[in-house]
Amino acid sequence: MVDTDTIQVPTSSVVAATGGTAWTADELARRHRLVDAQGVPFGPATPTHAQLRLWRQRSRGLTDRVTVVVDDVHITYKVYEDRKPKAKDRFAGQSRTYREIHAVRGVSFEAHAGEAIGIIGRNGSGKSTLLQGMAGLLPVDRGRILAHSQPSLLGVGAVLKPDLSGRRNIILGTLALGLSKREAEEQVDEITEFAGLTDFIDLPMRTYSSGMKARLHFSIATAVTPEILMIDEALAVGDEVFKRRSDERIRELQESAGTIFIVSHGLEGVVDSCTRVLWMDAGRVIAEGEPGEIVGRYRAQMADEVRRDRRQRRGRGRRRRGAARGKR
Amino acid sequence: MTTTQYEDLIPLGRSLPLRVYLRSLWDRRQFALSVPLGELRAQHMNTVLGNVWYLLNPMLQVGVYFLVFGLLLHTSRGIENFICFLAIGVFSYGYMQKSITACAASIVSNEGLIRSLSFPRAILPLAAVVRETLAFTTSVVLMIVLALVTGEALRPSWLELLVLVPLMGLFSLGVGFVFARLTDRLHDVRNLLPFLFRIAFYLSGIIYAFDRVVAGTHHEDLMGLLALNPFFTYGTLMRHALMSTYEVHPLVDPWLWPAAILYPLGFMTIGFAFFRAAEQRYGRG
Repeated sequence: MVDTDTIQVPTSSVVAATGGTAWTADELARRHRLVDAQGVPFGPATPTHAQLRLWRQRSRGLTDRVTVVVDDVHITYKVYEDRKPKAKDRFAGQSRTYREIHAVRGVSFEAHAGEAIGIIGRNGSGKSTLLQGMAGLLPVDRGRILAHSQPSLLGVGAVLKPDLSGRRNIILGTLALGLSKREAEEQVDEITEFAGLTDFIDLPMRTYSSGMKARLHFSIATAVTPEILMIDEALAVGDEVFKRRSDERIRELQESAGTIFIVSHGLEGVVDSCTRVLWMDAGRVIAEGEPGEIVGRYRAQMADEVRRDRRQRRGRGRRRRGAARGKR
Repeated sequence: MTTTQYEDLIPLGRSLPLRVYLRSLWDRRQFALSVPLGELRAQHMNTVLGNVWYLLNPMLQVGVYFLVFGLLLHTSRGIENFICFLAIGVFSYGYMQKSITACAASIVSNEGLIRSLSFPRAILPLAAVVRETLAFTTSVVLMIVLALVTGEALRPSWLELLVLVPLMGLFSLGVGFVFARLTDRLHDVRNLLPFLFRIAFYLSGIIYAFDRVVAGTHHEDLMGLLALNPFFTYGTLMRHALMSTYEVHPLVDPWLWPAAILYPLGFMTIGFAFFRAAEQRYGRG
C-alpha cells in the first residue's frame, strides 16, 4: 500500500509546467490552495484538480481497472430526407429517400476507473453520436464497445415523464435505478434540494425550463453512484450556482472510482474537471492527452478558423453588395 | 497491459445472461409495484368524482351492454342471470384487453425513461400489467356484489378467482411482451390493436353464450376448439366459478382448465424471450 499523502505525479507534465523544476506534492497542493483562494491560475500546463485527483488515486492503485474499451468503432445512421422522391428512386422501389451519415469513423480508446474524459470538437464531429453509441441508443456498425456496466447518458432536454410532477419523476427514476421504495422516498428531499427545485417539485416536469429539467435529471442520475456516466452538454443550460454544485458532484463520482465522459463546448469546464481530453474531428479522434494542452491546441485552431470564416464572409458580402449595386 | 483486465468487461449492445437479467428485474420489484399505484392515484385527479370513476366506469359499461344486448337485442335468451353473465364477461375481457394494450404502449410511451436511465426494460410491461390488475380489483368487487345481489350463492368455487386472475394477468403479460416489441418496431401496430380486440370480443362469447351457439349448429364435434380461444376460456371459467346456474357444454368443459394453465406458461416463455431479444433496441425510436 502506497502512502496516500504523497501524490505521485507523472513528472513529465509537471516538469513541463514549471519549465524544468519538478514540484513536490506539497508545493503543488500549496499552489492549488492559492488558486482556490485567489482565483489566479498559474500557468497553462499546471496540473488541474482533476488530474491531481487522478494521480492521487493512481498512487493508491485504484485506476488500473479498465471500465470502458472502445475498439475501432464506426457508427452510421440513416436520416430520412424531407423531399419528394425522384422518378429514379420510385423505380428502385423507394418511396422515401434517406441519407447515410457516417458520423463516427474508427474511434478507439480505453477509459479507467476514476477518469473524467472530456470530448471536444466542432459541431458535427461525432461527439454526441459516439456517446449515443456507447449508451446503446444507436447501433454500432463496426468495432465493439466493452464496458464494466451499461453506461447512462445525460442529454439536453431529456425528460423522464413530462406529465408527472418532479417529485414523481424522482421516485420513478430512482426506483428504475434499483432503489427500494423507502430509499427512494428518503432521497426525494435531498435530490430536490440538490436540483434547487424545492418550490417547483410538485409541478409537472413539462412546465420546467430547460435548465430546471437538466438539473433534475442530473440529480436523479447521480443519486445512485453510476459506475459510468456520460454527460452530453446537459449541464451547459444550468446556471452558475448549479454548475458549481454539479462540478462538485462529478468530483465525488470520480473519487469513488466512477468513469465520467463529458461532451462540452465550455472549454474552461473541460480543463477544470477532466483528467484527459479527446479531440474529435470528422468522426475521428485527432488528438488525445492532457486537458490543458489539447484544449490549448483546439483553441488555437478554432481562432484560425474564426479568422478564416470572417474573411470569407466579408469577401462574400462585398461580392453580394457589388452585385446588388450592378443591378441598380 | 494484461488481458486479465478485460475479463470482467461485457460487450455492450448484447443482452445480459438470463440469470443476471432476472436478478436485476427482481431488484426493481418495487418499481413494478409503486409506480403503477402512483399512476392510478394520479389518473382521475382532475375529475370531480376522482377515484369513484374506478367503480363508475365498469358499472356504466355493463349498463350499456345490458341495455343494448339484454333489453334491445335479446341475446340473453336461455341464459339465466344475464346481467351477471354479462358483467363477468365484459370485465374479464376488458382486463385482458387493457393489460395487453398497456403493455403494447409501455415501451413507446416511456421513451424518455429508457433513453436516460439504464434498467431492464421488461419492468415496463410488467408494471403496466400490475397497474391494470390493481385497477381490475374494483371490477372484481363489483362482480362479486352483483353476483350476490342477483341471488348467486356463496360457494367454495368462488375461490377459483384467486387462481384465475393471476393466470389472466400472466397470459396478458406474455402476449403484451410480444406486442410491446412489435409496437416499438412498428408504431402502426398500436392503431391495429383496437380492431383486433373488437374482432376477438365478438368471437369470444362475451355478450352471448358461444358454446350454445355452436351446439345449435351441426359442428358440435368441434366444440373443443373453443378452448383454443384464451379469451373465451378465461371468461367461461370466471362465469363458471361465480355463477351456479351457468353450465358449460360438456364437450368443451374438460379442455378449459388445462388451456387456462398452458396459455400463461407458453406465452410468458415465448413472449419474454421475444421481448428480451430486442432489449438493446428499445428507445432508439
